[in-house]
Amino acid sequence: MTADPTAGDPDGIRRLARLHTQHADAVRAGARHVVDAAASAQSGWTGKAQERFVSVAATVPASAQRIAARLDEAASALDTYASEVQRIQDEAHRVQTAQQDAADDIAANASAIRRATATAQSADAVESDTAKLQQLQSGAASLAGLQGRLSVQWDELVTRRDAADRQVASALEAPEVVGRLQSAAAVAKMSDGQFLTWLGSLDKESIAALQDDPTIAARLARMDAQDVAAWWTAMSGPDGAHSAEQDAFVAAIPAALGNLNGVAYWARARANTTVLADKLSEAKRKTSYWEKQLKSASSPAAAAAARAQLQTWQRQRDGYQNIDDALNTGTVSLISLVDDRPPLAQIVSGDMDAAKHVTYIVPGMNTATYQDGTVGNYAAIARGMRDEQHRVAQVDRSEIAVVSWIGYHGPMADDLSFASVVANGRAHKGADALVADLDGFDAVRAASGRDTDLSVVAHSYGTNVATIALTRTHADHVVLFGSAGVTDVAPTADALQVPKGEVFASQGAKDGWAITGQNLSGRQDPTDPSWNAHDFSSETQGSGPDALHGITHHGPYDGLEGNEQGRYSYFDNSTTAQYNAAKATMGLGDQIPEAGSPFDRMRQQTKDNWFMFEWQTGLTGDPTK
Amino acid sequence: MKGATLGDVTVDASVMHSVASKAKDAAAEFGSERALSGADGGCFGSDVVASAFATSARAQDAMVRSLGDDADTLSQFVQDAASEMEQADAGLAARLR
Repeated sequence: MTADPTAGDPDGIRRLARLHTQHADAVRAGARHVVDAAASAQSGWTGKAQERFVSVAATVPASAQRIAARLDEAASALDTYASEVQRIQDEAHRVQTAQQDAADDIAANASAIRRATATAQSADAVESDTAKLQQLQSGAASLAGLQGRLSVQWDELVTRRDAADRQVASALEAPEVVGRLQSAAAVAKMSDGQFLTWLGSLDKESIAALQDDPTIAARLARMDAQDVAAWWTAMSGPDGAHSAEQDAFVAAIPAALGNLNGVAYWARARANTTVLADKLSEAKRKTSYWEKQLKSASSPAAAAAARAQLQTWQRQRDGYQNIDDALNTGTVSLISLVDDRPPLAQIVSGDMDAAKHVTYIVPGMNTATYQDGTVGNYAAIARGMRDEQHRVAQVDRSEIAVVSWIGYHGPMADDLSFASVVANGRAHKGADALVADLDGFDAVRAASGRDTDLSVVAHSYGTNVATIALTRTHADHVVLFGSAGVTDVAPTADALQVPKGEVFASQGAKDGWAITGQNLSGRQDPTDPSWNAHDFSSETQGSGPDALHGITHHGPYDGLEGNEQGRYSYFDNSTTAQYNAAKATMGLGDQIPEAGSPFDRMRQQTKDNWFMFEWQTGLTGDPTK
Repeated sequence: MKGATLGDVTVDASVMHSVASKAKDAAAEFGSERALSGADGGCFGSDVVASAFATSARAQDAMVRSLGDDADTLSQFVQDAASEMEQADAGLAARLR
């Protein structure tokens, strides 16, 4: 497109330049206040908040200086452009006037030539008439020459304006104005390595400018966890301290970082807190909206559609609210939040970045964030397991972290997915997610140089998920509770990428659902001796105040309220199951007596209930005799 | 009482007031100008320039906004310290504010 030398408003451009200068002045003034505040904070205030204050305040002056300089650079470019546009416009107006004058002269001359020609060709023409005609014709040639020169001048102005436009556009996109930010087209051409190197080169204020760019988040989501971990770790301060750049990334693109394997868990947790607030707020709005739509529905079809939407958004709202409630206890953090239907969440007790012993708990069927109590229970399960690990191994709590990994959609009891408990589709999908997360954890640890003892404790249908996953990735210890059956993908414990002797399995004698799941699905019982796990008991052990409770049914958790009614599940405190799992995951598995095979359970069942003996064996009498 | 100590936290009321006030002033300065990206790019008379300006204005707005966020974070640190002390000494916290 040809540039128009007359287009634009130089005064308007100058106003924009001034606006940049005003911004630069405000930035410098603000920075002076921060410097003053930091100086004031040096005395009369101590503590962690003061240290964080000073640390953040120290980054502001340099950042402000860079931003102010960029604003000045933009202002200067715009001022220069305004002046050039003004000059070009002045020239253009002169040329336009001259062109108009020339056009008028040419028209008048042509008219005169027509008249002079008629006169010179008339019968009474004299010599001077011919001379006049020749003079006019000569003038026409001169005017044509002038018109040509003016046209050339105009073209030169078009070229000058085009150059001025390109120059200011280039200046506005130059590093001196936008830092190291790149256009979307340039980013798209980068290789993954170049992309991460470029991200790593950005200063904190340039990182802040990424927040409106969805392509950055999409690109990061496709990255390999090891590459992400290397990028993220390289930005860390001394001894892994959080850097201003890392903080800036968390603030700018929390949704992209919250579930990004390879990013440090403190950053993911902080990012997810931001995302959770947004998602909860959105779910409340949508719930309210669909409630109104349902009330005002004009037809049964519209009502049905509104009802379906309402149920979806109520579940989203309840899921996010339950997660928020768990976080508000101040005892757990949120290292993953997936905006699925319903939401998925990974809740951690302990410091995932520093812990030397990390355990992932994989739940079974009928686990969803929207259910009353589920998220809170899994937060309690993580805390309880961590406490027990600390107690049995005498390892400081700061060295232990336990993740409740509600990271897949298991079969649910309250919808048609219940039937899928006998199938393996959900387990394979869950295994894909678990492999990604365990590999992501490995990547973070490899990049930070911190070694970890990694465990997986799975319950019910989650044992199917975990065993499939562990044929593709590794753990140091595995515990399988109340398995609803393990697929042929893992025909024995030896198929798992777990050290020999570190695969444990247990099923309580009073667990009626595990065996049901195994029988209906045709999957293997991992406590069967042929599966080659280290079986342990989940039955009552000892007596008196130190007694460990046997599980009374299949559930993951009954809590204090259930315990007071004599109900115990695998992850309850003071159960044999939890105690043995804590030992196994802390590397003390060789201290756990082998027990709890199907035959042991049958013996236990017969001790507890004669009918069970008769039912299972077809025999009568006392089996212990 | 002009100050208090709680564990590793020492707080002088006048110092905290001064720090909080300056942090708020900083936030006010950083947010004092209208957004560059809200300006009309029609004055350029050139689509090329208007597009480049829109890109740079968005980036610079975000950069300035990040300074405002920093200032808000600084204010929050003061608030955190006040809250911590509030649990130990409600009277002091009132004076801090």
